[in-house]
Amino acid sequence: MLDSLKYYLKQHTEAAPLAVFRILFGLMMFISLLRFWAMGWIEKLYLEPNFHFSFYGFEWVKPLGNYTYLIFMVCALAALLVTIGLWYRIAISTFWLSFTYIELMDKTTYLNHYYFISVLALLLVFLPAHRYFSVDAYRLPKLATKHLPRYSIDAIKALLFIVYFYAGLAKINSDWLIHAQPLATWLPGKYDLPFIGSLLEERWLHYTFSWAGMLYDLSIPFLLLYRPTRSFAFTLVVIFHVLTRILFPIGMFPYIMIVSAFIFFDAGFHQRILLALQKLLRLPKTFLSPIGKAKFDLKLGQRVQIGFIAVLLLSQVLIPWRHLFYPGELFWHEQGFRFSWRVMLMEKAGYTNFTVYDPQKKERFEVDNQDFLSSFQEKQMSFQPDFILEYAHFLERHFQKTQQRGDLEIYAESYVALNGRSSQVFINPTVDLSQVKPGWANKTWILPFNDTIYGL
Amino acid sequence: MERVVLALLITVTFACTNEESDDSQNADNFDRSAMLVHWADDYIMPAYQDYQQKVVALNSSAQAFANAPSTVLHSTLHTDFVAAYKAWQWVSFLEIGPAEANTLRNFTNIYPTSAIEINQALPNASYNLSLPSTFNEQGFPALDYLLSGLGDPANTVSLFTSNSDYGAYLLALSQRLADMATQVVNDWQSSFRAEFIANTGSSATASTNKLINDFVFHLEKELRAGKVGIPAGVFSGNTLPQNVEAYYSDTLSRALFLESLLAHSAFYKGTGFKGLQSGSSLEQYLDYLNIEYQGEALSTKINARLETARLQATTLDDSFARVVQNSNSDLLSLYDELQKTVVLLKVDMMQALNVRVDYIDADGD
Repeated sequence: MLDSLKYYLKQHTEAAPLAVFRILFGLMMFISLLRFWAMGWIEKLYLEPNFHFSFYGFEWVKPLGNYTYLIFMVCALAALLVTIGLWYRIAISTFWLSFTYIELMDKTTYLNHYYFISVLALLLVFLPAHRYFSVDAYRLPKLATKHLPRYSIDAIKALLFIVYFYAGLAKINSDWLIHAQPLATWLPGKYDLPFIGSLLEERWLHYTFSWAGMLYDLSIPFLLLYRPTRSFAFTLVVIFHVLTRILFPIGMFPYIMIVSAFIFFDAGFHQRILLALQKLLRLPKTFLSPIGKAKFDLKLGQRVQIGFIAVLLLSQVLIPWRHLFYPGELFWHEQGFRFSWRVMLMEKAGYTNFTVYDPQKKERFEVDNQDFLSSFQEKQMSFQPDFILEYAHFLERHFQKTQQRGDLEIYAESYVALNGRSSQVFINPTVDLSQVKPGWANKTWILPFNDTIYGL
Repeated sequence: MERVVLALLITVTFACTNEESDDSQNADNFDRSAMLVHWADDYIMPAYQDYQQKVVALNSSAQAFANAPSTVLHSTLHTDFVAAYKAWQWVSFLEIGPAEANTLRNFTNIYPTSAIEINQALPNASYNLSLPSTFNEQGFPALDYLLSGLGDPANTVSLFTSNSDYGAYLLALSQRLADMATQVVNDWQSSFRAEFIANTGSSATASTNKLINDFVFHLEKELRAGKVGIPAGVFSGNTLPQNVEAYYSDTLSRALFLESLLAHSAFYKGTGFKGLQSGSSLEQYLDYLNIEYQGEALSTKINARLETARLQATTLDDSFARVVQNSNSDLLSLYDELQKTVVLLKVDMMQALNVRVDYIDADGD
């Protein structure tokens, strides 16, 4: 066992796939960040709102006023450095830190694919992606090599495997498979698409897409790994992600996933890409055929890296199951819903208002959420319990400070609808949320879900 | 291999650029563009034209009164004021296109008005009413103050007679309302109608999405909060009778509320402006999609809620300020009823129709 592990860790493979991956990843990130900036989202999402929703334990991560632009600039610059492979370890670490900082500033904008980027960037910190076809390898020949430990490419494959497979597992539930929800809610709304628009109302199409989506997610990692089915699988990847891009507002994610799937291809394919790139950019020959022959000898430094990679991948296997610690319907209470590749799984909407009661002055009043939240924040807050709690605490502090009040009681009147069901009361209206501590404990102040969703 | 990849990448690029174009072939069985046409031709444009006529009439009776103040002319002016204010209730939620560009609602109906600021502005003949800082010195609430807030009609007449500043300010206000209405009507006729009915897409900025958002937003913030909740003290802890709509006219607030509720129902049910002509509606859309709420048709449920709110309001005193002072719990229960309506519209209806609640086109996953 230990021997075969040691044998595996000593195996080498061509460096080209990781080099191509590094180049494309950096480029995609650079474009994504520019796009985010150009859409005006830095202002809208991070500068205009006065209040920001934090992840538990990361309350200290906040937008930094106009310096927020600086974080984006640093992040974009780091992405470019990753692409060209200059000061790689510093660049990818900076990218990971700044990107993750951005994602932690306000959880209103949480998306699984942003989380995917953060995890992937952290993985890349420990991978020798700069040893081939990079400025670093050119400038420091003793770094350069055409061969890398095999695990450095397998680690990325493993992460993609987890993402797809877990996304598929999450789709094995009665709403998705038996009721074709939420696709039955979403697809008819895209009636205006050319050619397929009129089909999107058809019940059979909702079922087809639901089942095909589930089967795709579960099988695609295997089909990509197995050489005879690889081209077919890649065709599926493209069709699937293009379709999601057309049907849903998911920005750059489809492109990132398509490009990431390149990693499954043989080295020859990547070698030809690099050759074309070398000719196109008139790069020195040493980019393709480095003089140096760096050694990977499983000494301490490399062992530490392998350790980090193993822990990271293991955590990705385990974290999605944490919802098992919480009773009740996961889609309803959402405890353990994030960070577990539950992608596009539910249509949830809510309407939540707060009443403040001042027991000393015996005064009771409702809050106009618009006074504090952007419409996007209000929308996200209205159906996610941790948002509701954090906001309730903010309201208590706010009214204590601005209106010189003592201890306040905060009650939520909340209605939420899930996957096409009628709206129902969400939060126990008699619980004073100002007394509830945030944390990992089960949130007993969420009222039980009126229905049952069967599945994983 | 590369050829496959290349071909696929070209397909991706093509498919994704193609997707941006919005030429809808709308083959959907529920004809959303018919709904837009109905909204534009049977509701929005007639309602705006009616409103324009009423404010133009208001403007001319204001001129007559300012030229020769008398209690008779004051009474005519007040009648025209009431008619225009009621007509406004039908167009208030249409914050789209020209009305949105000019922030029409803010310049027309921000209340409570500021008597202090009006009195400060009066002696300066050069008030700039296009500044956002003057929202609460103009529109119907400011007219309400000038007509009924300075004392009984005889008092008002003598003030207007002795000090021409009042007449000048009155005219500036009525002229501005007439100008803004004319502008909006012209814009709808000349270009925006075409733009509105052509924008049939499903994006956040498409006409259906925007107007449904406007409609629900208005019901929540103006009808539920502005006209009822705020004066009843829902948001402040203490009651605010002076914050009712048309506070100085005293007996107008319930009528304006009912008019607004009627307008919301007509829009939702598709009966057109004051029953002019029925057409495709949100109600039909919900029925078409077969949306249920706890075993009943959601559309029926919403209708029932709107009707309950109407019946509750008809039992109240015609002055909401008096209701606040004498039996505020009645107004609070009207507020609760409207709140339930908002839940059905904002959560159940908008989810069923797949209308996004926010305008920010941020990515999803």
